[in-house]
Amino acid sequence: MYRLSPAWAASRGDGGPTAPMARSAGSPLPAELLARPVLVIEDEALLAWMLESLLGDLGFAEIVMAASESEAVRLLGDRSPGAIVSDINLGVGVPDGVEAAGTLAGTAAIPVVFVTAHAGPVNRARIAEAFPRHAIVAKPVALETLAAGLLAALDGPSVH
Amino acid sequence: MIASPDLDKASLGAVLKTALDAVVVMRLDGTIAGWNDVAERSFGWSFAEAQGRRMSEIIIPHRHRASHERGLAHYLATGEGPVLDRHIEIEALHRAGHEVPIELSITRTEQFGEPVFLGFLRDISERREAERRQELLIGELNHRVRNMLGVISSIAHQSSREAADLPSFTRNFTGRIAALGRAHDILTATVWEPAPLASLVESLAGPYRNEDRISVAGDAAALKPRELLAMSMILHELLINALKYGALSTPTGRIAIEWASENGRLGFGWTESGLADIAEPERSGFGSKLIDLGVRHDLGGTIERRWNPDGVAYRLEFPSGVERP
Repeated sequence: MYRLSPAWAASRGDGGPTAPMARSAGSPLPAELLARPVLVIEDEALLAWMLESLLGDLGFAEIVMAASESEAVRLLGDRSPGAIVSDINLGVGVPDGVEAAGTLAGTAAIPVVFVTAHAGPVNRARIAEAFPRHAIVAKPVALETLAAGLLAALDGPSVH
Repeated sequence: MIASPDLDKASLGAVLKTALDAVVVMRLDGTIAGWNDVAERSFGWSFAEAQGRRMSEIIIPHRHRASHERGLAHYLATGEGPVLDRHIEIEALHRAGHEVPIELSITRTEQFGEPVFLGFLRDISERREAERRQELLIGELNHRVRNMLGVISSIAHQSSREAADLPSFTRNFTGRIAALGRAHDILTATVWEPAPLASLVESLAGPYRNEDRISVAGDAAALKPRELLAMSMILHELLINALKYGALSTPTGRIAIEWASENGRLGFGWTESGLADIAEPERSGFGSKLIDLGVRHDLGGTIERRWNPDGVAYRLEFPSGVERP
């Protein structure tokens, strides 16, 4: 299990959610990842907000928050995210998070972290097939589990 | 089956005819010799059509046929019948091609003048359906609980960022959870069907409606559970803000709450008045961020915020599918 270094853990908490400070110097995540936009796909506003502030704490310079695949496509345009953090269940009648992340990742091996209440075997298989670099993190998410998920996804083929 | 030997065999057949389960009589050679009304209804074959045909060809799904025939041959050769006199859950084949889950009990009897197998087959489709529904409900419940835990930890997280000290954190945090609790009460009463916005407004703003300082005028718009939960958080923040800095912080303040639904969209207004020298705050806190996010992200709507000299005014608009006549 990944642990925060005491110095870095102590430095978090002073940046507002709307103005994340670049802390890549102390973040466990590589600077080149933090420099690119991270996409959050989560339909529940409060959960999206929590992810936004945690990702801000982790040092991401730009956090794009979308409630759905279509909104993510609209917000990103033709830019490609450096990482994706997505819920799986995005409501009835719309593409779910696995589909949405697939659309947004395209053919690039972008690290994807799925944050979900319950990833059944079917979704686990879909994720393993579609995303060479992924991790699955249980809701509710904490800073440490999100950071560990991103690092695991960065590392490539999942060992979960 | 045990019956007095002097009982009339034909009468016994008549009893089986009226049984609540499908009753099937099979000769030792595997052919059908008896078939009651329920069997006709359950499997789609009349007795005339079923009589004399092999049981395995009519109501046993293809994948079970070989083992059925093997079991029958084994019984005839050895007298061992592991499926006899037990309750078994298995699938039967309907004439139309679909399978029917059944509970099956087979016994060997000589009550009809020759040794036969007597099978009782109970259609358990409804029970299976109820079990499936229950599993779905438990899955849905689990999902909701997990989601709510996520929402609560997010509220705790954000409340702690905004709070100056622990007592104010505790007050803000528990107030927000209580507002969600009110919305849950209303949704419990409607069994998670669309619920009137008026109930939510009354539940949250009711305690502050003394001295007619809050006026409420709205139609019978009903919000989906998700919309109602989002509105509960939004309304709570509006109220808390009014109590701290707005219309409910001075004796002269007034709030007008109004809403109307039309063509699948709901317009909601919150207008504070009776204050003096209102200026837009320089820094927006938890409340305004939550209101913005709730409207845009949860409700997929728009929000307009106006700083009038005598109080703040909000105008929300979002798609809301359900209306009550």
